[in-house]
Amino acid sequence: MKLKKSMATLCLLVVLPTVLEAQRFFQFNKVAYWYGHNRAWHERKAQTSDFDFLDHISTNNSHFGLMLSLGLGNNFSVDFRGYRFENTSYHIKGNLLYHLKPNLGFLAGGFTSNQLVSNSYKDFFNNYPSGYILFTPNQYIPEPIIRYSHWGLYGGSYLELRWGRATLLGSLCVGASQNVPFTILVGQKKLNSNIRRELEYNANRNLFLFVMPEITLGIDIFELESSTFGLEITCNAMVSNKSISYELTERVWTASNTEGQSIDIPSRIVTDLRYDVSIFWKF
Amino acid sequence: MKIIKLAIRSLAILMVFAGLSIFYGCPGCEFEMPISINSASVTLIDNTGEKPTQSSSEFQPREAIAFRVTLYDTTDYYDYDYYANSKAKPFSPIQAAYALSCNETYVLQTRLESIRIFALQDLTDEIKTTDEVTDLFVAEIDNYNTSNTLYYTLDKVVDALNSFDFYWQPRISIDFFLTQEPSSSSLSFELHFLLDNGKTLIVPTPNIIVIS
Repeated sequence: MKLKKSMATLCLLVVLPTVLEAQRFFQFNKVAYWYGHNRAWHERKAQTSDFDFLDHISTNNSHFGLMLSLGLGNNFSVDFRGYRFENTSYHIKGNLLYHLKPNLGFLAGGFTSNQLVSNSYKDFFNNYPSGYILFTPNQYIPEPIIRYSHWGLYGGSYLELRWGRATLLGSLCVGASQNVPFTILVGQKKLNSNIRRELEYNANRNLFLFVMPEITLGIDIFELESSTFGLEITCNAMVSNKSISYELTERVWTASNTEGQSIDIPSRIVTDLRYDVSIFWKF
Repeated sequence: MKIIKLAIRSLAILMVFAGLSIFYGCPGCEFEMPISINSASVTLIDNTGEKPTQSSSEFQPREAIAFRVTLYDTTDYYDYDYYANSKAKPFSPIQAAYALSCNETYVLQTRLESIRIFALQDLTDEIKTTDEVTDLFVAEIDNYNTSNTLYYTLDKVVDALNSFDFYWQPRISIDFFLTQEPSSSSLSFELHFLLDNGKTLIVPTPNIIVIS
């Protein structure tokens, strides 16, 4: 209890003066909360028998989020956005904006994101190759949650148009992203046979480029002193040509009977679309 | 009056001793029983599905030849009587209690040196009767590393068995799986379990009729 009090006091003594001092250099521009949805479209896959992680990444789900925008002097501002998805994955990004003119400028940013690898991958292994089924050694051991995490950097420009209370903000960025390696372990048993095997998929670091257009339509609803309250609809797309190549280790019968190979999965065009409705408060 | 006081004191002292005897009589639950593998039985198993199950059928698919060997101790070491008697104190007026729900741990006294398997009938044109076929088998131990997908080599099974924690029952089952397709239509094997006391348990399997 004493420790907690001491920590709280220390935080107040350190954080409060820092915030007060920091306010001399930046001002709160905008705060927004939103609720939205994600969807993804994959280019049709070339005929291949190899397992493709992209087919099993959970992309269609809802999210809510928070945005905080801070002004840094006359020409710069930063904004931070956090998205939390219903399936416990997240997306965080930050932008640094340079305002060339009041309605035109450049931006640079980065993001980190993770998505769940859905259990649908088990369906693939339940009949591939023919005659093999998924082998679960112990049904009482909880299954591991597998996440596809990636991060990226991007840069681009933005343009803002205003008509009375309405605002249209458009931006276009290009960037590069890379996934974090992850592993899936699959056990299989051949029907009418003693053969059992274990497949270990170790995803490599795969670099891919992307184009990221975003458009936001906002409307100011009412003003209160020097702040404005309103609604926004945002649509963000990330179009990339990506693949997840991996190292495949196959163990048949026993752990000592191992064979490894590198699998290159052909790239496909993937469009991730995120759209949301938000309430904002501009200062 | 004095006699009554003396009698009460004597009775009290006797009750103290009787109370102490109850503590002596309580068995506790530190239950480590020495066991030695001295017997084995074999049954066929059905491994056509995901998990092996015990089977009474002698018919097995060519790719799924498998059987289960249970090793156990036939002595009375693990009887509760043995345990209770071992805890009984001499001159105790109260008999030791019989613990019936302890987490029994059985400590293996005899180590397994090796497992060898021999064909009792021709397996293929090259592998004839009496040939050693140990390397053609893999195995798994019942209730050992239940998160493992794969089988173990027989060397690994020997190592695992010698360090196995026997809980609840002084017996262990090992499933053996043939890794090579036999060309003959009838099979049987003989298993040799060499123990470190110099004894060898020899266990023949039932006859297996191979179906395609």
